[in-house]
Amino acid sequence: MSKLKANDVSKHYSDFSLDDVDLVVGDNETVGILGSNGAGKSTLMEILTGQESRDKGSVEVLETDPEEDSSGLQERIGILPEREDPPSFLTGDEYIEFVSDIRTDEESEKLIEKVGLDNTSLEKQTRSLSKGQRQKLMIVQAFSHNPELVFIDEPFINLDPGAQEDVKEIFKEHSEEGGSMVISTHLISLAEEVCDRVIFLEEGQKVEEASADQDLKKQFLEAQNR
Amino acid sequence: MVLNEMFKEEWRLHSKVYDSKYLLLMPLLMFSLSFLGSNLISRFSAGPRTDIGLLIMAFGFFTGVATGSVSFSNNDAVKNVLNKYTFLIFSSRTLPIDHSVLRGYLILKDIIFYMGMYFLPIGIGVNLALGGMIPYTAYMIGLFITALITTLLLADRIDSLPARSSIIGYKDFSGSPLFKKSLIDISRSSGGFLKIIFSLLSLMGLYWFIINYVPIASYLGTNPLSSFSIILGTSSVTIYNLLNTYDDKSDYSYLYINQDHILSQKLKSFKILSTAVITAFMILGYLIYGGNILTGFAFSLGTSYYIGVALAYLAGPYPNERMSEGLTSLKFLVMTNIFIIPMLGFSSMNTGTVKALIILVPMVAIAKITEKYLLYKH
Repeated sequence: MSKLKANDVSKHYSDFSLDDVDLVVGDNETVGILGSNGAGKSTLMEILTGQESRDKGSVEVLETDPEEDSSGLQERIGILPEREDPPSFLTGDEYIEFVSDIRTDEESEKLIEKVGLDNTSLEKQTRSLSKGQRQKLMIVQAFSHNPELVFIDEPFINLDPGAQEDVKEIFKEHSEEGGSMVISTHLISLAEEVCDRVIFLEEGQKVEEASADQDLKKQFLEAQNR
Repeated sequence: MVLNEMFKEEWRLHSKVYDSKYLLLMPLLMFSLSFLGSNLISRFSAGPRTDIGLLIMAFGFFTGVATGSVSFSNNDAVKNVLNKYTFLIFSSRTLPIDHSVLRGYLILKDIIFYMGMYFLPIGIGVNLALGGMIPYTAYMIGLFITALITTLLLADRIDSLPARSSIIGYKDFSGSPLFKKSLIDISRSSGGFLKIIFSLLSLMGLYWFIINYVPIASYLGTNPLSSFSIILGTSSVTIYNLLNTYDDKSDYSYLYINQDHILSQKLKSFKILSTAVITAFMILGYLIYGGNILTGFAFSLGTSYYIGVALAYLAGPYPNERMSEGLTSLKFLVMTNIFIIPMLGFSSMNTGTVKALIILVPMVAIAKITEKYLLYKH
């Protein structure tokens, strides 16, 4: 059974268009969206999660159109958005509690330990934390309710190499437990290591689809030159 | 150069929330209201020109205080706390410019913006209607700038008070997550809860000045606690604005919280916070003016509720941006003044309290119906 089905998804802005993108994510599958800066990866992620409306096409996430009715998805989907930070005036602890008050979070303590956030950091208001620490908090909230499907947009922003490895471990464990993921990134090495399959997006169009065990770097460069 | 870019960002900010051409309706609205208002007052009342002059000066002073109060959030913005919500500062904070210079530009930008949007149109309106009002117009602008800078200095002093995070925490509040977060945002942003008290105290000071020194408005002093209560209720606009200053719907969309839920929780927070603040100020008003405190509570809480629902209905979670747009402001003025002006009129008569209460009842009923059936889209 597929966790996500998107057909002919299009969105037009004055200076950019996303045109007729198809994407399917199966059960226990991790799919990467690879592309250059400005290729439309984040726009596609926002449409797939229902945070942005589409002009054309259809999207079904866990058999629900997220644009029509997203209330049932709150407990079943995790999102790591590219552009959001935790609220400035809450401490790290309070942010985790805030998220737990909204939905059933059971894994947050374990995840906090895995990403390496200590008590001193968690007691500070998030505005005082480094960008990397804020990103770790966002990663914790994306996985803490044990979602079936997680949308992850540029997960390694501001993370040091050690933290990147910790986050890869979280991805792998999620996958081992049967979860699915959609990861938007411009990092080929991440896609090779974590994804089962990737699509290449360039100038708002899907130009290629490939298994992650192929030579992604070569395909990426070819896709860019098309 | 920086100032130029700040104006462009101001324009973009308004364009993001609504069609920016409506922004230009605001000076036209200000001109029309001041021109017509001055004509009406001079034709139908014995009020001298000095009264209108004092009224526009009071407006200049209060706008200065209100604009300066925004400086509380400017302080947070300069410290890069508010991120995307203050595009002007967010986009310029990384420039190699000293923060005090940056704040200087912000003040200059506010002065030019308010001159164009409010004071020049009002000045032209009253001068065309009555003639010979240039000195009062100059005083209005002078009082605006003085009040703005004084409030900014005061905001800086309050901002230097000890951090509040150790005093009140998320766990200390009960209620929904968004309600608790909204209170934390206000309590931990610059000025804390003091900025609400400061803003309402300024308005109360202005009320006291008008009933004592502006003869044309002295009728409000006939039954001062009633008129004080109604004006106190309208001043809760500040509370609704503050509750919507520190977040945006995109903060919650990744948690699948929809805009209706955000709006309902903001309105709930507004009701609780405004009831607490109004209760404190009603006791203060009773100690100063005396009178029937129960009637006062009915006027202040009823007006405040109506104001909150009207703002939520017209501006949703964007009151700070939308209320500077001419058409929305005009709708708000009509929606509120259609009840508030007659209530103020009746409450100032010796035997008019019952009549004012008769206006209050449908006003609250309309707010209740709007909240239940019209406010939420889903």
